Amino acid sequence: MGDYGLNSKAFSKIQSIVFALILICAVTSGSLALYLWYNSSQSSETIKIGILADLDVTRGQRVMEGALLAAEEINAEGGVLGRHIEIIGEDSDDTASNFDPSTAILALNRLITFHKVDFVIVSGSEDFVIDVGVGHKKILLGTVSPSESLTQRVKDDYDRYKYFFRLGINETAFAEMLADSVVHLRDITGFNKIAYIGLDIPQIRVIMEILDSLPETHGFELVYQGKYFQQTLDFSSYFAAAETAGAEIMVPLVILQEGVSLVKDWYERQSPMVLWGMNAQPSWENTEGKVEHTTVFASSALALGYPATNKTTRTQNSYLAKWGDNPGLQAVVVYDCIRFLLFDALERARTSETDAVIKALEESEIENSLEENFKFTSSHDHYYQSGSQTAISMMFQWQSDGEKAIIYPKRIMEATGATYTYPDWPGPWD
Amino acid sequence: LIEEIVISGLILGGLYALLSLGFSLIRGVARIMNLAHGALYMLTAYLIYSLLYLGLGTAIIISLVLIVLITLIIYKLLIGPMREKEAKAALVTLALALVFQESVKLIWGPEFKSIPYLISGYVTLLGVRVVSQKLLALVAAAGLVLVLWFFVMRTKIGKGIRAVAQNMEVARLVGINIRRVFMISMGLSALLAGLAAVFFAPLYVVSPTQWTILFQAFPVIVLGGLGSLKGSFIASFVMSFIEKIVEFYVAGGYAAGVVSFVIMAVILLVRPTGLFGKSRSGGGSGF
Repeated sequence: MGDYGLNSKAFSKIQSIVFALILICAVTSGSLALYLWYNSSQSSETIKIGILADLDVTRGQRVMEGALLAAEEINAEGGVLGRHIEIIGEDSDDTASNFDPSTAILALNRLITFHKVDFVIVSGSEDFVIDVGVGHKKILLGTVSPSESLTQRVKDDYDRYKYFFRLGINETAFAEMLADSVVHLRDITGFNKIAYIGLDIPQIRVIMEILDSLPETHGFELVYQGKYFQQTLDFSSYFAAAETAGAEIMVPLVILQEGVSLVKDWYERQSPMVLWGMNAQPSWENTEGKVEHTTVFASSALALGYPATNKTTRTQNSYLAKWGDNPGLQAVVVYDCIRFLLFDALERARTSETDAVIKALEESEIENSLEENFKFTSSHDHYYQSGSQTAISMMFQWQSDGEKAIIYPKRIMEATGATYTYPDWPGPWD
Repeated sequence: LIEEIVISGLILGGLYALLSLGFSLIRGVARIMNLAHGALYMLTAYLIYSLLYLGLGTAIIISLVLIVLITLIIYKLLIGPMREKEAKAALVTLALALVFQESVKLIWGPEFKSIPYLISGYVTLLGVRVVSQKLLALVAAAGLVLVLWFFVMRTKIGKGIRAVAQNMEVARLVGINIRRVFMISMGLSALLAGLAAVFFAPLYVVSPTQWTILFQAFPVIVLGGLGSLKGSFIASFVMSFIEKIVEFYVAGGYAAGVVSFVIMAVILLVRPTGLFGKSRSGGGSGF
């Protein structure tokens, strides 16, 4: 052994050094390989966003358009977290008159279990699918349902329902907004006798309750309260009763197509009341202009051309360039959700892992196309301060040749120089 | 308020009358429960909407001709061969209604459409403002009911229709061409649905699911007695006044919708043949 010139102790020392070097190299290269593999696999994987909406109808199609535009813009900028956004739509069929909730539930299950989406934007069927979504521990972002029971669940059982967030405003916020707008109308017109007619469903009843309290809260004289059911075809009896009671302001709380009949009735009978409220379906075209002088909440602040935030005009222009039309409110809400809200939350969370994103969403405070400071309440509701003069509460009046004049909020009405107009038949405005 | 109930009750009754008379005519004569009857109303409205560029009058005439032709072709190919199997024929008509609904969605899209009024403005009757189009619809409904009554009671074809409705076998034995009577009844029924659309569709909107308007007239049909023209006519106004009274005095529109279906359920339990219908053993439909 002595011929080798090395004793066993020296060999053992060299051997140890070589072993250590090999080990260091192995660990380093292994870590590097793992890091490279991880990064490459991460960048090739997309962030999937599911859209659950009635894709057969215009609203659902606009929602998809908003989502696709947002994804396209984010992807063009390199994506988020180094990953591209992928949009997958499923049809909930929720606006069909014979809507079966199991259709929406099945569609949500397909999004989660088959398409394996990371987030779901629910536009219309929130009340029916929330339990299924949170059961899968999947983040659901609701855009339509104003039902307070949804966010009440977050309050009552946070651990189970923390996955749900509301992007639209809830029914109480809407009702308070409506009450504030009626006060503004009284300031313009001097009219104090108010009547309402509303679809007899739970969401509208909450709004009716707020209107019922107008005499105590704002000194209005509430002279008529009408409730109709969904199959109502003829509104003349409601108009007659309100007119007999001496109403000067009629507040429609109408969400569906019967609003067209209501407007036609009002125009043809030359009802001596101004129409002011919630009735989005009548248009200049489908009423042959009979909608003139009625005032309604805007289904899209963007279509009114008022730059509510620094992002409004850019969003409108992008949408117009891509789809050739102005975006409806739902399209903007979904666009804003992906383009600004989720993008921001993912960037701050630095992961798409659910709990981290929930925390990031809870801390969100962003400017989007409609509001300068969008944020959630502690129960994951859209934060809305009563009386705040934001674009989401915009109301416009149909004026001559189908022009839309922003009448509420007062700040925006004054900024745009709009004036309120009266029907050209006899009424309390004479 | 009573005046308002009378006027609006009459208008609603007019719509019910046109829909239920058309339904009852073919039910009474050919024993066919045509669940696609509401779809004929809907399809006529869509045809008028599509042909508006020709002018409203032309659009209406062409649409009425088309709806009668379409109905006769469908009767010849699908409903007629199934006529003797009542349940199967009813299912076929239900399937047809759904096919119409989906076809309308494909052709015109799922969004609702609107048809312009035939006349504009309002008139004051008994101190009540009545939209002129509604008054026109009421007058038209009354006129059409009278024409139908005259046709059925006073013309040779009408006598044939009544004979078939009362006893098909005897009618056949005395030489009445049963098949021809069926075809005429089907055409008349389609024409009534189409005319209901002409006068009433402008008051509302037109949508792919509007064929279900027939179901709103179902309590009327049951109350009057399946297949009874006289019963349908009387029940149309009885039901419309009940609905309006409930709507005005009791609990609003929601209750009015409910009460008519409660009445239908009670009638089915107490007197399944309705006010004027006759049981099958009576030899006819109580036409």
